Amino acid sequence: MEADEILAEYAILERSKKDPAHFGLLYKKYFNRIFNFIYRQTDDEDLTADLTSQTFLNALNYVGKYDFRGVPVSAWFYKIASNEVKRHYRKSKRTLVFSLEEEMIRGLFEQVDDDWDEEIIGRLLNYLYNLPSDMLEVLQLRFFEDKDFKEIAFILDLTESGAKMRTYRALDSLRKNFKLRVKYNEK
Amino acid sequence: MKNSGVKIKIRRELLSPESIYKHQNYSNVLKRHERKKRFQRALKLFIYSLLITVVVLFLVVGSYWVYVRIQKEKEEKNKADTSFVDQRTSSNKSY
Repeated sequence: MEADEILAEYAILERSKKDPAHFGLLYKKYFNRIFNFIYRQTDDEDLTADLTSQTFLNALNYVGKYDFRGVPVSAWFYKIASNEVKRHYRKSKRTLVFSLEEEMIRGLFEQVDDDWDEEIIGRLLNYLYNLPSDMLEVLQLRFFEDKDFKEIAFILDLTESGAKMRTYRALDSLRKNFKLRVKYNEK
Repeated sequence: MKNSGVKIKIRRELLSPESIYKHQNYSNVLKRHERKKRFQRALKLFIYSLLITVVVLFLVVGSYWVYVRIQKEKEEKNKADTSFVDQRTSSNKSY
């Protein structure tokens, strides 16, 4: 995301402090992404709708306290959404779900057509199951949400180097386990 | 930190934008936001009025307590004066 775009969105946020109707622009722009982000962690459409609505409501309620730190406004939405999901699981004491799209997982690898089969899917499920949830979170943000390390650090309250280290650790183990070339570029 | 309590699922289908779109309802978010703001305003008003009431009550009770003390001191002073006068009149009588 370009710096101009980041500032333009921040200007919308500033305007919505006085008139909440302006916030609707950001709501429309990011609703689908936040919905998908939450849905991957719940696998329940109605629950996701509630949590997404709560995410935007919280953002609107605390828009006056938003502190610009050079990351896109969307990172703030992801941070609120992530906290909402965690709060939901803490309250309900249900099992955390990671429901990932096969297409997105395929996108992680470079030469999928030859090697991709049911056996790999099974191994991948097992690999993800054994991965600590903080690494799963980082992988989700990095590859499914296409967030850069600065944004990941902001969303998960980490340092940028901490976010990088966590991602690379997860990727190294993915490479070792699957002997597949994993796509990633340093942003 | 192993995921003993995590269920991993792999979905073949993506959620369609249409099915996500039906959950969009910004007017509802705005309504809830307004309700919350109204509640916060009412709560603020209630807390301020409660604080003012407590301060006024404290002032009233404090001033009443000071008034009672002054009255008591006056009564005691009066009592002391009258007993002094009584003593003098009784000593005059003995002469």
